[in-house]
Amino acid sequence: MSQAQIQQPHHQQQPNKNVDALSQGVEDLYLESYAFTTAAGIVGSVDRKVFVLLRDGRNLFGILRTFDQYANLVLQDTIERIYLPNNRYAEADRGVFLIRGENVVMLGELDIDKEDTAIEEMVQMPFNEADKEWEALNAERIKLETQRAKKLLKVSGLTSDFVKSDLY
Amino acid sequence: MLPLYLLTAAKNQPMLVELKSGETLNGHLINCDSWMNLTLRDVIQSSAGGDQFLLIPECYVRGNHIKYLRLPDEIMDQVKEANIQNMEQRNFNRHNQGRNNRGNFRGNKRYNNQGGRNQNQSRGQGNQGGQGGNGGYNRGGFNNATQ
Amino acid sequence: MRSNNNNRRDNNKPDGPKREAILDLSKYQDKQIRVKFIGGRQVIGTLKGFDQLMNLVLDDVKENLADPADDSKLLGKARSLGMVVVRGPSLLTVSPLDGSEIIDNPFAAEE
Repeated sequence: MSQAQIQQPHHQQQPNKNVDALSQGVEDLYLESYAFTTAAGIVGSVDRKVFVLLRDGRNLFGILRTFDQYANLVLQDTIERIYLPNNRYAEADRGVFLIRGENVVMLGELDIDKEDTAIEEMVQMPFNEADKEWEALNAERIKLETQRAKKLLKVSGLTSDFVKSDLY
Repeated sequence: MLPLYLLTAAKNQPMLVELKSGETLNGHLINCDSWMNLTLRDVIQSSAGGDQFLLIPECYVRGNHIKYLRLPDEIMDQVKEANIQNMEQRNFNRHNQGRNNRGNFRGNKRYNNQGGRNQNQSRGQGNQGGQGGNGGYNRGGFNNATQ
Repeated sequence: MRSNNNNRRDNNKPDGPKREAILDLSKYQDKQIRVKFIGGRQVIGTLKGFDQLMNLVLDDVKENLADPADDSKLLGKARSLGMVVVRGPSLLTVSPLDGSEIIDNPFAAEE
């Protein structure tokens, strides 16, 4: 008795399934709206000045020339900027960058009228010094995090997901 | 034009490859493939800390471990030239064929539209940063003058 | 006719990235190569065999040990591993030992 009951609804579902399968197949190929895909997000910024944050914590500013589906980017006239505590910053000209997409945390278009307001209040320093200081800060942080991870594991059995190469 | 096409167009050019580990490789590109694996020649390999340097005649690099590549500034002009020539060729063929119009005209137009946005390129503060640009080790990178 | 059109179109497109292997490992056959791994290890060995996926067979392999605290600092020590199979996916770089030399900072002059 119960088997027959089970079979009936199943039989009713099948014709519906066929219709759904067809339209489902179409849906798999196309999205309803492309406005929020990553490509749509990036293509509007082509040939404009953008900033890119890399996973190692670097800030790059440049003109986005091209990209692909992995968010590999090509930037032209790129400037690398380091921000340091106490209102300091440093810049270095870097030329053409081809960045592998997986290393990008985020990127955004810059408003060229407003892009310098942040650094107007800051003091610029030579890049080499800034770079050394920045690396020292990173090394400190890595040391701290690895110690913390060890302690967490030893004391509480918890694992840390800190990765040495992700310093953003 | 896609990034990997740009890279393929950069064959025989000097470049700096930084790996995820922070090591840098300075050398001329021999070949590249669709996974971004590269073969470089006359390579100077610098450690992440910028303290150890190794000169290697040839090196193969796995694409999935690359962080970024720095290419010479001239590459953009070269590619633009090549693109314009391709466009002219394609227009020529298009007139002749009439069908099979599959040009990426929109894509190429972006390149040709640089004129409007060039204001972004010159930044007064960028010049100040230039002094520190060629820092002693890995990130100072290649110098076009050495060629 | 169709095939002719295709040829012409391909000539107009810029050369794309290739699909076949770009490193011809046969030229390193029986030669010493330095292999770096993801994770920081580095070995030197004689190439005995390879395949399309870049799996390698190396003989007389010596691993250059690194400082356990900092993976990039190589100690002078080495350990012998004999014959080794290297998995392609874990490769980072491959370079011939012949012609390699340690040099001083080549960029210092630029300052």
